Amino acid sequence: MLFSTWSFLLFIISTVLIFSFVKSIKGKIITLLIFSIIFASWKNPLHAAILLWVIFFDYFLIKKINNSEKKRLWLYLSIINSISILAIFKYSLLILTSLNEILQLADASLRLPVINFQAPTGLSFFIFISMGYVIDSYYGRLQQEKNFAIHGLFVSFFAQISAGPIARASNLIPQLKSLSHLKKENLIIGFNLFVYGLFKKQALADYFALFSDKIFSNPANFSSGDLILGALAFTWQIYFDFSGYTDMARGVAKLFGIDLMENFRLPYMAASTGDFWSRWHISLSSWFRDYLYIPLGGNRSGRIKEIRNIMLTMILSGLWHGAAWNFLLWGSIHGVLHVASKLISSVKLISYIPLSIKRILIFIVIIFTWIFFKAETATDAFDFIYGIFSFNFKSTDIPPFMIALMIIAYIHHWLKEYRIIEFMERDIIKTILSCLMIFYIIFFCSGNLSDFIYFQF
Amino acid sequence: MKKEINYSIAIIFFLVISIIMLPKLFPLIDEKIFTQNYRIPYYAGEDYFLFNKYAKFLSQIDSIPLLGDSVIWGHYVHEEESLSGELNLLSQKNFRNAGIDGVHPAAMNGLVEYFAGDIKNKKVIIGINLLWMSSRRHDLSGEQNNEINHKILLPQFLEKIPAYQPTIEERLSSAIKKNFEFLLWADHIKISKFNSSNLYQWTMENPQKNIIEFFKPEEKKFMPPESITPRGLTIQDIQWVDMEASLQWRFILKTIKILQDRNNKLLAIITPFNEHMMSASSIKKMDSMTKAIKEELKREDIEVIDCPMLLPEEFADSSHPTAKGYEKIAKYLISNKSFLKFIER
Repeated sequence: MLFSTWSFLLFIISTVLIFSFVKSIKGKIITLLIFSIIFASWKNPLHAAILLWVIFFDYFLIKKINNSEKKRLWLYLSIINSISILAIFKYSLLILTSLNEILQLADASLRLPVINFQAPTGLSFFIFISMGYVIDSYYGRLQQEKNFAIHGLFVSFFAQISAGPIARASNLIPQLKSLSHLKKENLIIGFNLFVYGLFKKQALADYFALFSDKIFSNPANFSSGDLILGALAFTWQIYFDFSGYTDMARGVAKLFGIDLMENFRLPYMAASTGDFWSRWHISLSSWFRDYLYIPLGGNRSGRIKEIRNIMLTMILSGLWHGAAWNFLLWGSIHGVLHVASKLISSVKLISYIPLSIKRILIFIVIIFTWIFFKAETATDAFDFIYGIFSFNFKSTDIPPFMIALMIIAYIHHWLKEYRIIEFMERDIIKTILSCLMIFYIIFFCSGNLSDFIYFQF
Repeated sequence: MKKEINYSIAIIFFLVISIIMLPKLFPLIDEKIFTQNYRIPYYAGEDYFLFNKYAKFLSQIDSIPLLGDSVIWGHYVHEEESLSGELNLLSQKNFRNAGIDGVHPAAMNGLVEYFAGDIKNKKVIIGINLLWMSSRRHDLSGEQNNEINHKILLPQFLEKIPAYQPTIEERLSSAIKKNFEFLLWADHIKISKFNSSNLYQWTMENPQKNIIEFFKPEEKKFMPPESITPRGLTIQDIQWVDMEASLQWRFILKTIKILQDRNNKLLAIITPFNEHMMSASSIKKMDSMTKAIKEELKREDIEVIDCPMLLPEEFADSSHPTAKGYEKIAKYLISNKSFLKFIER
């Protein structure tokens, strides 16, 4: 169920109404849990079954981890379960087709059956939410939540299940345990966040998508200028799409008094690739940092191992997005850039580059990395970049309105970074803007429904 | 903080009031456009807000609205050559074209139920086009069909239409839209005041144009299409749907019931169907259907007039008359006793 649909509007109104009628915390938790299961099963009840399996299995194993000597065994079992589900639903197609290609190269007659399973929406998100909780329990960072409903709600909460943010038990469970009655300030803040997110998605991301889809569908037909703007359009599209979704998710959670973690902090203002990852999809990058990079040794075991750890983390982070070579390449490129950035950061000359120049340079680098994310194959991506450097700047059909929106978006990033427009953070200003955004969406946006890019992950 | 929240609540309250009041205070429709031969423009076929205001206007004047599909609307002719236009030429009465292009009986039922509520205590002529029972596809009782006109007007949840199988979201969206005046008003503005219903698509298609032009709609004059007879049509065996099984006939009856419940006096006109392109057995079946329609509506106390046979050149296609055809029908009606009795009553 997309957040930008009438179905969701009715769903959320029903949830809020029932939530407000239920007086006890226990009842409120059960209400949210039931609605979360309904939400998960909306497209396909089997998807809810997978979610429930993950909830039950990890609840049981966390109990084992807490009460048994063989903690590591239970941890491994949980991780194997989670990775297996991911492998079946997300990676089996890539693995099996790749194996068949190898068999073909080896002239073998054997072919493995290729089955394309339809992955539940947000599979990678709820698996990572649950896995993080198991790992935290293993390291003794958290006491197990004995109440099964709270555990279940933590993993399945409908606001975050489709595309994050990837919640941490330490942040979310205490909030679930102290759910309170609806408060008007939460309703207003939630409403504003939701409308901002809706605006980002429908008024901005979907518009940039019109142009980027056109360019990426057949890059050979376009000039360098078109290709650059196509890449730029996708850069803004993916940001507004994903951060718009996150705002909506945070807004929905806020209605119930729940603060989900921030997932974006002006990522295109990053001054280094490391900085970019501390601003982009923060819940995922911090997950990989805490549950992979640091356990691998982080930067504590010498430069070579640090490089290995960075590369491994970034490659897996790329693969998390999907079973495709372009995601692998995209993760690897970010790994290489991150390593390179670490290595050159000690060069004194770098410190003389003004911060604003660094921000612009990193923005340009990020635009190029998105080409690998968007392109269907690595060859397409390289062809796209080759096209950019063919320096063919013949006249192009680029809507000035779209360029104006891109410029406004970038200026907004700068103004916000330097806190020049802090007054816009006031609730009253946000509410006025939300109302204007609603009118804008109704009158100027298409009304066609399009999936959020990150739903596929 | 608390003060800001209270102000925010006030702003949202103001937003809600605006959403309720704007369509009422600023309908952005000048009633002067509703001249005697006015018909809902072709491009505004889905502007139900406009139709609603037109129906309200008709209810306030001494008029006889003609409800129906593109045959009543006059798909191949100019507005003054449509049936109501021709009738106005021949009589002192004020006939009004309230047809909509592409509106089949199931959609007409929704149109009358939701947007013609003001038409009460009036004489109303309703056009019955047998085309909608000429195949299971037209009847909407066949396989799923994604090219149904005026989907928003169809019943979304309470009645099953085999050919109409949208997603829950589409059903919900249609159900909400037709009950929410503000959204209909927004559509009306998009259709009548903008150059396209989608700003973004327009900027992509017209990158060289100044965005101001989007808000200056080009004149959308309707040019009647060329007739397709006699070249395009051959003798056909029509797969008529039995009246008892016909979904569209059921909707015609429902529409009649709604109009009667609003205390309207009804006259039904069976609009012509091109017999020259039909096999003998098809004509026979059509005649028996016409007879059955007359009998059934008679039981409902509704007079039914069957249009005269038109010449091949008086048909523009399988069911739409040409200007000459409309003229012939109007002359026939104006000399028909039942018709005269109805309009003079």
